[in-house]
Amino acid sequence: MNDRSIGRALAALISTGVVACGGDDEEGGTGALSVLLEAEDVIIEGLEPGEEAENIRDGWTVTFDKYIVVIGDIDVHFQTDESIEAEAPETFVVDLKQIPQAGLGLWELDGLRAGRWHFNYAIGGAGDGASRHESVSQDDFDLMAGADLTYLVEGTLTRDDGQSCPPALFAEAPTDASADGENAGGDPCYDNAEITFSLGAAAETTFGMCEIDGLAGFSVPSGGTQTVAATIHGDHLFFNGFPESDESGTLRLVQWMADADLNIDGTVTEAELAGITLADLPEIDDRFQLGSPPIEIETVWDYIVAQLKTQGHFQGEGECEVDGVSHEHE
Amino acid sequence: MTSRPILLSCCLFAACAEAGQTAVEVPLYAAGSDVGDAFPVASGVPVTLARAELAFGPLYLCAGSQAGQLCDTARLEWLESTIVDLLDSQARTAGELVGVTGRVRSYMYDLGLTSVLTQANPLVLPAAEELGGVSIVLEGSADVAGVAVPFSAAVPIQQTTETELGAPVIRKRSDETFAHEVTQGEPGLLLEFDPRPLLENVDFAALIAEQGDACAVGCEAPLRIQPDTQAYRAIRNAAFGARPRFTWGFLP
Repeated sequence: MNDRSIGRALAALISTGVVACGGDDEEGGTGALSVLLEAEDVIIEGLEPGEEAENIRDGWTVTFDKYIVVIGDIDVHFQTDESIEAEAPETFVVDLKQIPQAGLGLWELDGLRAGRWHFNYAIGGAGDGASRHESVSQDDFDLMAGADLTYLVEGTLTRDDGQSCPPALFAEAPTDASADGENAGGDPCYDNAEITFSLGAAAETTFGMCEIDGLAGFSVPSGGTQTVAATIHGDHLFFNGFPESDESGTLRLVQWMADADLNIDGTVTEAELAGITLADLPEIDDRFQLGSPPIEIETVWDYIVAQLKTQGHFQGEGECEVDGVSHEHE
Repeated sequence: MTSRPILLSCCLFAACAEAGQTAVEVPLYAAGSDVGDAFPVASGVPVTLARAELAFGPLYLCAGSQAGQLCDTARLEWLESTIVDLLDSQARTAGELVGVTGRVRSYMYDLGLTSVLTQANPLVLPAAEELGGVSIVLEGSADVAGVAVPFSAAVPIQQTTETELGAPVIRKRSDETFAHEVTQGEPGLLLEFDPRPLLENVDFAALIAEQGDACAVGCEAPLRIQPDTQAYRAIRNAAFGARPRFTWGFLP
């Protein structure tokens, strides 16, 4: 948890002390909500190899060049009377690599009843009326809108002694490439120290209800403005599973993506990822726990889409239900 | 599991208790499927199963739409385990789900190996113990271009120190529909399991290729599917993805 998250958690706890359960439904003035879009530190700084919790455990370094997301559809409900609701329906196409570390203010809701509210938001399709933020080029925006993408993530995997060990049945290594060893599954490995990836994915997802440290939503002070953040995590792509709360027991692993460079050209493509299943990759072993993905998984591309659908958080490390039904509308 | 603020706990227990709940016990049944003589898997290879057993349990049903750590307290739970004969479509009594009335919107369960936060290794429940310490046992034969390939597999599905200790291994996906209002006098809940998805992506041609001449004209001894093979990973991954069919109101 970073300093911002700790501050928000404390504020949330303090607010609980003055707003008793079930007792905040009396009208007591109105206030406003300001919603920030926030990028997890790893999106900005990348992921380093090492043994710490947020390190990549298998020696690779990950850097992101673009981390574009389509986000919006802020939807809040008064906790003791769900019929009282407010929305900021705008969606924006934003490059998280370019936004201020303190967050980017994108949505304002005024005239909210003072008290405690539930918070929901969505990752949507760029082709559904989203607005381009200045952090995104027109070309990227057109690409995403044309394909109705929700994410465009580009980056690089590097490791001095990096190799790709594509499954032998699917490998298309150049004829002049010479193998140097093999992996646990007996697949030949080829030197591949720098591998780029470009993931344009449709992974529409709703997030909410959201909570932080067990407290749902946010409180609106009478006559004041509350600020909350929709936080996008960037390391889930490399998670070894789908944790639903505490991420401390989760490993970040990259070799499986390096092995998906089937033709050893230094670029992993959607076609390569969609052409193999997780069972084809020896790296997807007992270290991976696949029992609770948000969608059904068959191909490696499905795995990436599933991980993208888990990246929405609240106030830093707070959790949100993924595609929950708690705020469905007719 | 993260610790919860004391203040929140006070709020939950002192002021926010859900009213109108009644204690219930719901009979729980489990069944396999009638898969016929042979069924196709990857590349159309026909497979016949002689044995398919699953260690199932515990099972938790939660009030929220997302199980896991967001389900601190289950609405209904069954803490035992049982062996499900996946080739027998007859419903068998597994036990009693115990809890309170109200809406359930998600589930989570283990396959005989249940993780606790205080131990690196999962608890081996009686059903898994009876299967030799694993979750799934499969025995059968595949016909790969006329070559008979008898096989067996024994696969544990469990949390490790590198995954989510303390959490059940299978949880409802968010794209699944699961909701039921549990009332007093609930007849029963039936879970039906199908073994076919477990073998759906097994590449038996690759499996016999790995054996060299030993299976050139038919394998003399059953091939034991080993870890680090595509076949093993395909079964393991499928076990994570496969879900039983839940039928409420079941009466045997």
